[in-house]
Amino acid sequence: MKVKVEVRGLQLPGARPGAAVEAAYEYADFDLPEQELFLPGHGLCASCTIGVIARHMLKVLGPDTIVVNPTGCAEVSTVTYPRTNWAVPWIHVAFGNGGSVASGIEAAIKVLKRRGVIDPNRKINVVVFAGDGGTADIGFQALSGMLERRHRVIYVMYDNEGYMNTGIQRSGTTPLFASATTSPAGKKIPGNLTHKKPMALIAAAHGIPYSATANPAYLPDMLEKFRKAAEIDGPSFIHVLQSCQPGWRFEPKYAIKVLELATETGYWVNYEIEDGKFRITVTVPRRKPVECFLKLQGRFKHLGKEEIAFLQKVIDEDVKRLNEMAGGEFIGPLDPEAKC
Amino acid sequence: MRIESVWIGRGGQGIVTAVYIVAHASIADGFYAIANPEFGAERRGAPVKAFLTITDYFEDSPEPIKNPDVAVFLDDKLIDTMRVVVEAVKPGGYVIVSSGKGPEEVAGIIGRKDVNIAVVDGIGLALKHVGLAVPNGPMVGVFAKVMGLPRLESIKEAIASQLGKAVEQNFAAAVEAYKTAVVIPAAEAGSAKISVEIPTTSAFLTGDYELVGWDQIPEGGLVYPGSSLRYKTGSWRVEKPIIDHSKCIMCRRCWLFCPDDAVLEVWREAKGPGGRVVRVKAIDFSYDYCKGCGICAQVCPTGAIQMVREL
Ligand SMILES: Cc1ncc(C[n+]2csc(CCOP(=O)(O)OP(=O)(O)O)c2C)c(N)n1
Ligand code: SF4
Ligand code: SF4
Ligand code: SF4
Ligand SMILES: [Mg+2]
Repeated sequence: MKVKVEVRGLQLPGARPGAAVEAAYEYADFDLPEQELFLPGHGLCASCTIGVIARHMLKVLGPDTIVVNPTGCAEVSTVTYPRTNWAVPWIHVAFGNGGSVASGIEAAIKVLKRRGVIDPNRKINVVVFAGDGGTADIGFQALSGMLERRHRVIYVMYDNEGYMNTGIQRSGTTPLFASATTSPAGKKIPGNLTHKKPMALIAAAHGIPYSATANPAYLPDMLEKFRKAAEIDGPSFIHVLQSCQPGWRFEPKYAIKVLELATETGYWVNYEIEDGKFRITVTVPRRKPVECFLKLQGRFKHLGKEEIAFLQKVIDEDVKRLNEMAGGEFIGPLDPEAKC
Repeated sequence: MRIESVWIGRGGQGIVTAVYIVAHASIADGFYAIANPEFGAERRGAPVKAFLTITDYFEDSPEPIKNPDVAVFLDDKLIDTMRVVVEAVKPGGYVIVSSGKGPEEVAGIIGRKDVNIAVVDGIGLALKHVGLAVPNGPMVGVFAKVMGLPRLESIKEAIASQLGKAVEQNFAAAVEAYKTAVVIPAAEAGSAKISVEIPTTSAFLTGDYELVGWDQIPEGGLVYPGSSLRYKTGSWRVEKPIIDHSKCIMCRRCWLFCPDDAVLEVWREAKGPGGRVVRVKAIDFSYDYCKGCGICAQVCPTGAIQMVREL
């Protein structure tokens, strides 16, 4: 299938505004919608998995989706005047107010439906696509208010574990001992000293109908979570882990591999909380040592045996707690012999 | 004296360090220098430019340079996309290029007879001395050769203060570039006036876009779907994926995990049983947009995709 893309409002040499430009490639057909709504020609780093998350998010949510994008890598790299690669309505908002703007949009749609301006049966998704800084730190109160008021908004937090757009500063979701420019590893202090905020649990504590964690390396699980979130009549929150080459310092080709290892080591557990019921959605029979996850990444290069053992202990405890919440051993025991 | 230069490279090639090295070395030699790198929102691999002005009198004007005396390219693939920079160089000025191609071929790509051209294999020298494909050291050396400043000793000091590591290796790369760069002198005088100027927009436009005045911008700064398709990010690539169809089992993992929508499923004609030509589905790549990250090759369960060097 050839896609015709209409380019309006742009002054293109040789083409008047309104002229259609034919993209020079064919799309595939799949069980997933063939239509790409997150087009190529964006400025994200080579290997940036924001691209993987956004592509599949829009495949599930479809063209009737309004994206609210607080500033951060995703926003800055995809919409640089005069171009955009989002093929859905998209709005730029400030660093901290994604939740508020999405609330307003959702309320406006409600009113327009009531007045008959928009077909009341038309399902329109409002999704916030925000970074960890824009969610767990500065955007926290806007998010909390949005959840409290029960707006029907899907809030997707892509978590690259730092303020990547502005040069890899630490955030509230930077893991323990990761080196960032504001928490550098030195002789005395081994990088960041705080623990990662469990944002999906914090969101769930607002009593919202759906909250989940997801990992793009486990695509079917992530897609299913987007689908559920879209069906719910109320606020939903999805915390998605996202690998970042310059920030985490791995070889670009390992962008998916490093995410797989995050789950295989129990560093990242995929779970959901639906109407208060906690469930682990991706089981791991035997866990690989956390070192497998760490050693691909330059941000953990400074760690010695002692710190790695400490991190392993933290993960063991986290896994134990999550298993208890789920009522079973869904994430299995550590296999110290496991090959990375 | 006043030398205005524009440096063009890609995020990750060390262009910022390069202009800082030349600036510090020039100051050590008793000149004044202003170095201001300028990058847009794009990331690693995307084009970056930096301005560097060297004077022998004090001046405090960090203005963007519109018509440079010198243009330095750290990557010959950028000459075409950044042609406006080549066109804006003053007649009698210099275009310095890092390229593995022959000097005559590079001169052909530049296509101007009224400028001096200097060519060196910056990546080759960087790999030889430093072990990294970062051509900034060699380009500093070539700049010093064609402009006659700063002095090599000052460059060494500046490498130490700006890089702080691998000083000997980087200096050796700069010195070899200084010695071996091929200079092709301008054959013509050229017209005294040039009409092209480097645009002052901070966005570094690499696609087939034309900027319009503020009064022609759609209300609210609207941009329209599909406008990114004219930004061919394939030029960022150092390696490209190629596929061995005989190994592909059409599992589509490559398609699923490509962040740039650059893996395509297309129809391909193949010889079927009895020599009949049949149409089969096959994986292909959109080289217009593929950034060469290597994810597809890494996630392929059968090893059907290989990354091959392109530069
Ligand atoms: C109020 C405010 N403070 C600071 C900034 C500068 N700023 C822009 S993006 C950003 C970091 C974004 O981090 P995150 O939300 O994690 O997104 P990422 O860039 O990592 O994708 C900062 C600090 C801003 N735009 N607004
Ligand atoms: S810095 Fe990280 S998050 Fe930002 S575009 Fe690059 S890979 Fe993506
Ligand atoms: S190398 Fe990267 S950008 Fe290119 S096709 Fe493969 S996954 Fe996509
Ligand atoms: S991942 Fe490999 S085997 Fe699977 S479709 Fe792509 S090229 Fe073919
Ligand atoms: Mg972030």
